[in-house]
Formats: sequence, C-alpha cells, structure tokens
Amino acid sequence: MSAHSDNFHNNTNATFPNVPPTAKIPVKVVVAGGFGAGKTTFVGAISEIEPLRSEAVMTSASTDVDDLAFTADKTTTTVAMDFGRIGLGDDIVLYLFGTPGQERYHFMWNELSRGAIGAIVVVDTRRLGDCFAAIDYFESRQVPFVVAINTFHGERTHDVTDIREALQVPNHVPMLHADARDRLEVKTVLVTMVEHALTIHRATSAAA
Amino acid sequence: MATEDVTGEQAAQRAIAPVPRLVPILTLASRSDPPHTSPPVVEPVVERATEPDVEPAPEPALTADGPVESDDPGTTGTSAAPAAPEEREHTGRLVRPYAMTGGRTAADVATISLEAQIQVSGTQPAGKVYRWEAARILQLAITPIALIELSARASIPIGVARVIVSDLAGDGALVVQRPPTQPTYTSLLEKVLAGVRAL
Repeated sequence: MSAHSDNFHNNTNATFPNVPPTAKIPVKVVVAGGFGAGKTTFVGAISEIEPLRSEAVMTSASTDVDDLAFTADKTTTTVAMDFGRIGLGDDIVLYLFGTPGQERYHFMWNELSRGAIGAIVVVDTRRLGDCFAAIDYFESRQVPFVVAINTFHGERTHDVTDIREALQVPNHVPMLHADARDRLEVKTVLVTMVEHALTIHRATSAAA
Repeated sequence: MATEDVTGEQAAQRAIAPVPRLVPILTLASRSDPPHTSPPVVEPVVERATEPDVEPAPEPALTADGPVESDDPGTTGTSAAPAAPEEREHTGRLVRPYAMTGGRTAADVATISLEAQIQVSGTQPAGKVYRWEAARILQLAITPIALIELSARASIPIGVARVIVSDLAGDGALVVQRPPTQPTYTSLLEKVLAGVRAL
C-alpha cells in the first residue's frame, strides 16, 4: 500500500475487486420533448435530487448524424442534458434523462435510448410539432414510450383523442394529461410508462 | 503518445494562445465560484493538448467553450429563450475538453453507459498521483455514482468524463460496477414497476 492510498480507504468493501454490496442496478428512462415543454420540470417533480445538468459535446463522429444546416450561426455544439435520480427499493436506481426533442439531437438519443426501459414524450399542445421527431424515433427504434401532455396551469385545451390524431400516435401507445409540476401526476405517467414497457416486453417474449 | 513531442515553435504558439486555455481545470470545479478568480497554481495543460489542427476542418469536436445551449426553461413554457445570461457565464468552458484527455475521445475507450455505477476500488495504484479532474472524480466516486452524475458534479463534459473514468478503471483506481444480474428482464421491469408505484 502506498501512502497515496490513504485517501481512498473510505470504501468499507472488503471484497474488492468483487462487486461491492452497494452496487445497484441502474435503469433509465428518457424524457423527450421540445424546448419549454416541461421536461426538466417533469424530471424535477419526482427526482430525489435537484435535476443536474451535464454537457454533451458533439464529437466529430456525430457530425455526420447531426444536421447542422439549421444551426449555421451556432458557435458551439454543446448541448445540455438535465437528469434526475430516484432510488427504488434497495437495489435499483432509476435515472430520468431529459433530452431535447428536435431531430438534430439524434446523436444523443442513440446513446440515451440504448438500454433504456422506455421513454416519455412531454408535449406542449401549443407546439405539437416539436415532438414529432422524438415520437418517430422511439417508434422506429421500438423503445416503449408514452405521451404526457403537459397541462400548463391546469389547462386542458385539447382532448387526448384530438392530440392523438394530430400526432398520429397509435392507439396502443398510452397518452395522458399531466401537470409536470405535480409529483403525483408525474408518478402516474412513470407508472404508466413502466406498465406499458412490461406489457410490450411480455408480448414480444411470448411471440418469440 | 506523439502529442508529447512539442516543438519549440508549437510551444511558443501555445504560449501566446488566449489566456483561458491555460486556466487550470480546477477553476471549473464549482459553478458557484466567480469566474476567472484566483486560479489555483498548478501546471498548465498545454503539453498534454493535442494539436487542434489535426482535427477535421469543420471540427465541432470537443470544442465547448461557448455557452451551453440551455434547454427547458420550465413549466411556464411561455418562452423558449436561452438561459439567462448569468447562467451562461458559468457554463462557459475555460479549458478545451480535449486538453483534459490528451486529445483522446470517447471513441477510443470502451463505452461506459451514462448510468453505469462507478466507485473507487479502495486501492490506488502505487506511485500514481492524480491531478485535477481525475482527483475530483475519485473524490466523487467514494460511494457509487453514475457516469452522468460524475460529469455533472465535476462540470466535465460527458465524453471527457468517460475517458478519464476509463483511464482510472484501467489503473485499478475505479471500478465500473457490474450490477447484480437479474434472472430475467421481466423480473427487473416488475421490480421497477413495484418501485415506482411505491413512490
């Protein structure tokens, strides 16, 4: 043992290099939606930590993927990603990743949806178009997703049926109103999403 | 790495590079710190930096010193305006991310997922002294922490954090934890469902 190691002995795990008993199973859920749709508020309403912001920097590899045609005046290709965390029981930790819904953020969605149990598309009815790309993406990658219509200040200006039609979302995809600030409503969306993922998973396993 | 071979001319060019490039990483450790104040005295990062010119010309790669594109002002939803100016000030990067990784990108390392749980191994390799962001990551990972959370808490872009974590894991200082295996994905989903219902 070198003298340097003294600072690193706070870990009480005696069985290194085996997996420490504190290891939890990380699972993730993607929360996608347009700017201002309420993703971060949504994440913050249920996260046990204040949503944290991390930066994703586009690498040269993603220049092929990320269409910069509409961002010619941008001086940076850094995007912020907000995320929250919830401990579930003793052994699972759930991460909620908020990600911008526009097509040019595809390069992040690939990474985010890899291994995600599902996705939640947060919709602002005043800007429905902002979420088309996200819905297309999750559909084509077969990521189970639900649509949460953010009821800003309790306004429910549109029927679910109308919005479903406008978004061209198939009937089997759950769609519900939720106030992104309201913990219980956000929880309901999350429960619906996991139920949906489980239903789809069971159906696919049975078919296989 | 060939990046260590710095000619006198290159070194001179770097020496006159804009000051922010030479400001040590530690000034970024806390967003509550006022920017540009009393940088800690540590070695400048120049000799570790890859020559930027070798990058492809359009080169959005790993340059992140502009303002972060802010997302999601919140439920008010009435404005898609970018972040407030004071918020932007703190997200400006003073050091080119590739300077922290010796020019390597995440493509060079085995991919560690964003949610992967990372923890110090409890042993630090003899003779290794970690500086700056690596030391900060070791500090943060005393208890298990996800890669993404390391990135956020250390104010390091995700790709950079991934490279550093990969190095530290290679040294044996960090363990990227393999979560206990579940009998099936179904049972995992069932557990998650029970968990979120109980929230």
